Amino acid sequence: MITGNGVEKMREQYRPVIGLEIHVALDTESKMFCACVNAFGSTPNTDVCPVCLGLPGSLPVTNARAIELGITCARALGGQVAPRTYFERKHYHYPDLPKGYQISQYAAPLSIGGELVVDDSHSGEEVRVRIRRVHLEEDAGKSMHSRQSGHTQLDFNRCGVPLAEIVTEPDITSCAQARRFLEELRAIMRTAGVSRVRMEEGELRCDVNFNLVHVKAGQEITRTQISEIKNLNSFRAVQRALEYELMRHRSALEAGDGLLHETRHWDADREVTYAARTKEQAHDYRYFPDPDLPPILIERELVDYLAAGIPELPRARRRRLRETWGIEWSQAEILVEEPEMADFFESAIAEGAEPSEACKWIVGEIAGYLNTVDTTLGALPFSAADLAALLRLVEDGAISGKIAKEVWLEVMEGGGSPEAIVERRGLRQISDDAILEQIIEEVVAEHPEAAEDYAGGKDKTLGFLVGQVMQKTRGQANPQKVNEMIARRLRGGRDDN
Amino acid sequence: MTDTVAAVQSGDISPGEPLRRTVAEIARHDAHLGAFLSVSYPDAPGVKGPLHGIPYAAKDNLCTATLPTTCASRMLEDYHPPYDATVIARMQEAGAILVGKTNMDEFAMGSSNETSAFHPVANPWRPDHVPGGSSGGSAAAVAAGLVPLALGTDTGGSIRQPAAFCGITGMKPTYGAVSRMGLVAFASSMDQVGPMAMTASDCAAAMDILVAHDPGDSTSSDHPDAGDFLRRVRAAPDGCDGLRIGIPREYFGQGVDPEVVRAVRSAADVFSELGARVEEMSLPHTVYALPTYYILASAEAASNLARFDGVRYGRRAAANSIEELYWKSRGEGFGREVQRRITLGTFVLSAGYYDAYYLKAARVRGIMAGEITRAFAQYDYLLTPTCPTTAFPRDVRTEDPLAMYMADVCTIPANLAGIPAVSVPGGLVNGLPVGVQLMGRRFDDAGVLALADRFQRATGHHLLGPEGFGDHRERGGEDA
Amino acid sequence: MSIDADRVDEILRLARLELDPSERCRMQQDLAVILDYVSTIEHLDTSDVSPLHNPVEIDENITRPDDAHASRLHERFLQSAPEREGPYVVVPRVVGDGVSEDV
Repeated sequence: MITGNGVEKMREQYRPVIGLEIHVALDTESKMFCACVNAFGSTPNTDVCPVCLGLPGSLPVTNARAIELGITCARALGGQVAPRTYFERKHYHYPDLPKGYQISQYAAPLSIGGELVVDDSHSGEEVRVRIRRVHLEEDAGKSMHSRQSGHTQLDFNRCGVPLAEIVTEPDITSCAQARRFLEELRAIMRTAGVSRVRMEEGELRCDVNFNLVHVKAGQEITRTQISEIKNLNSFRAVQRALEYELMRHRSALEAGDGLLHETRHWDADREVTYAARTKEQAHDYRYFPDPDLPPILIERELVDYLAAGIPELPRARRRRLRETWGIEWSQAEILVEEPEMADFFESAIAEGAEPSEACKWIVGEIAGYLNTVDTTLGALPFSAADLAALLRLVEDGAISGKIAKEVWLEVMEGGGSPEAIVERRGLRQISDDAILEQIIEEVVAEHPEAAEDYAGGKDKTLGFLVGQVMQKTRGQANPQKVNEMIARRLRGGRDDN
Repeated sequence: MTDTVAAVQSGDISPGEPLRRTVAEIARHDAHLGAFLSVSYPDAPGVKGPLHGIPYAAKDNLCTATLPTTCASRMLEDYHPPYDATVIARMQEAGAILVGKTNMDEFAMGSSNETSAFHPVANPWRPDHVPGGSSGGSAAAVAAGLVPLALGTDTGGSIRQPAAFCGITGMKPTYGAVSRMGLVAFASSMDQVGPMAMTASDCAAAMDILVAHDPGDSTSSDHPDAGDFLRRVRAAPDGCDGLRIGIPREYFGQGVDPEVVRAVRSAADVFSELGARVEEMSLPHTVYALPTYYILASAEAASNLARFDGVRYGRRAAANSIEELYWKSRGEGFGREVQRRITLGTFVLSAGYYDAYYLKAARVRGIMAGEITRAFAQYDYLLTPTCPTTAFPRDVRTEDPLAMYMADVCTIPANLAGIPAVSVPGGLVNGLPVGVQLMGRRFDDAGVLALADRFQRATGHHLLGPEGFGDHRERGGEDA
Repeated sequence: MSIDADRVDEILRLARLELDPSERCRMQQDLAVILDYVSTIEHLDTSDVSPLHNPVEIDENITRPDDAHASRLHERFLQSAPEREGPYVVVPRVVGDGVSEDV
């Protein structure tokens, strides 16, 4: 980790320089330039039409919502949205690119500038990563390469899915930071409603640029040429690929080799990068303004309107949740990663739940449950009021923490409100002194030695006695109360624990 | 044609009669002409509409769900589009009957119809001469009376130049007036679909169907002046009082046949006699139109034709690798002229040359469009030759691309500026038709057609027809 | 303007056109002649002119609402594919950069 103190400055350092190009799939109903559904997982080659297939004579018409989401994306990152922007054609040949060009943006991107600030949880530092530009483009299809049949199978369903490409300046200085950046970006995109960023559906893909600068006594001695690693589709892959590159570039520098500027690919199985066969300079994309698409004029009012609709962004929200409700950094992190979860948390508090308890339940039980079911929080059959009610039952001593977990699982599976479940299943804790006294008498009578041991000062035995009471009440006794009552019964209230 | 429509509508002839005649004419003549690439005769005479019963032909770069769409290329030899172009659908709704797809220069690149991958088209006036191009099949089919109406497409003159060579009337509408949806793109910023017929009023009747805003084409306009063509043409007075017509002298430079010049001068006299103020003027950047066009149109063409790669449709060469598949499919599928334009277009867009060629040409286009717009502050219409020459013999220009490109020198400015332009017959020179071109302001398509119509009311040039076909030609209602 | 053979090869590579040697040679000559001709615009002063890419003038954006419709044309699309395997269009297996064996 690079720090600014004087001793460090004297030292010899290898400083990574990392820039990212991220593609985020926009959360639209239809595709970028045609009315085909923007969906994942359909039967191959069914969500297609003449436009996204690039059939002869077909013409694109821009999806207004995609432009709006692009503006929202740009504003959430603090970019300056261009008053006039246009699409260009980027030419290259690949079998899953139907037109021989991709409709993208080049000279006049949707937005330039901006910044994303990442809190480095380890060093406590703020890392400011400048955004170079945000532009819109259409996705290509999918190729599946089968060695068995000797064919590449083409599925064009993804063709024309709207993407925002976000390009950073090379401001990232460690592999872990790159990952943190992406996590923060994902949280921002979700919060702003730009994209759902479902990683498993390829809704966030990333190219990374990496090189390494050799610094001695604050002076740059040498640096390696940039490696571009293409098409990484998980955060882990990004971090691992960068770690691999760091090692590779460092060895090269130590051996006096500056490396070549090249495109590389990540081999996820072997966890190595390897050089692309076609050299970067062989690409000549021949961009020019798409004559089928008139320029897009973006009025200030629209930008302001969309910007005003962006909810509190994750970093501010995390800070506020911590400062207002005193929850842990790591818990705030988890809550805010899914804006729905943070919303749920705040609603639960509004319903009267105690913040740290509510947080514990959401981060633990609810997040855990969500991992096991393929759905979103909003789609589940319970509300923040249910969680608040549950916590109230625990607080009032009506149920124990253990029973509460059982009840909550039933709530999450659609069993109804916590109160209703507790009543229906008769789970309310026994707090009635008369009943508990009678049971305690029974237990003392059945286990006289244990009772004597405890009365004689053997604290460990209390647990056994309480356990016996709990067994007799099938777990419904209030354990706190049983503790107190046994102590009073056998030690006459002189419990020095 | 408008008289035929009236006859069908009044019940004087049966709705099937025009189609019957067309079937007979195609059977009799097309083996010699080569105007059609595919034909199909429906049983029903079309729906009742403004063009009820009118048989028409469409250039083979307009997508049709019922007939193949080949663009006269080996690349699309057996291609059947899954949908109809917007103009085809509109014609059908209007009651017109599609009888076939017409021959053309491959992917509309050419000025003589000689780049068709399948067969050449004969000029009905002189069979060893070219009909012009790229809409040569449409022009020949109309000139020979096989159909009263054909659709062409015009990127740099491809409707007007063959109309001139074949002695018919051909209209390139304002860019954006007619939907390009389903037109296989050549140069997207210049392509327009337009009518080719005997007379300006027939073209106006077709424009009433063709011109409409299409939400499926982002460059399609919903301009309020774009409609009601036939009525406005008919309502126009015979005279031209108050009209100012400019004759840009740059259109009469080197390479323009003196006989063609004479024909345009006499057309100018006609307009003067009708009361227009006709004067010479200057559009100095006209000389840059052709180089500008060849850079921009080729760049767009190289891009538009990138999709023909043998992967999803069209010709696929036998290949062991994807790269071989691309190279071979495109090498075998495209003819020489198409390859030439793709190569030129790829070059002018390539790294290191973009600024000097593509961007420079786009700027020159800006200058030229500005110059033309300014001219229309002083003049209502511009009068020029459609082509520097009349139809030339087959095979003489195929070896020299620049000589071939010169055939478009007078028509290209209208495409660069996106303005409407019509070519009308201006008499014969040595037995071959001469075309006279009229250009107008953007969206003054009705005015351009009305002026052409007044010219045709005053002269009889459009009534002249090639020998051997005359009996069945429909000239201004003579035979209806 | 002369254009060397390597440049022509590079352009043909970008355009994915395979020409036999005589055609390639002819293309080189044609291209030189055409480039010579189109270079006549070179000396024009265009410094204060905006490029015109399309004559359409826009005063409002041409966009469509974000409504999805099922396309019923995909069957016909697959029918026109030169080679298919089940629901897929297929080409010879792509080998090279970033390619992993997916199936």
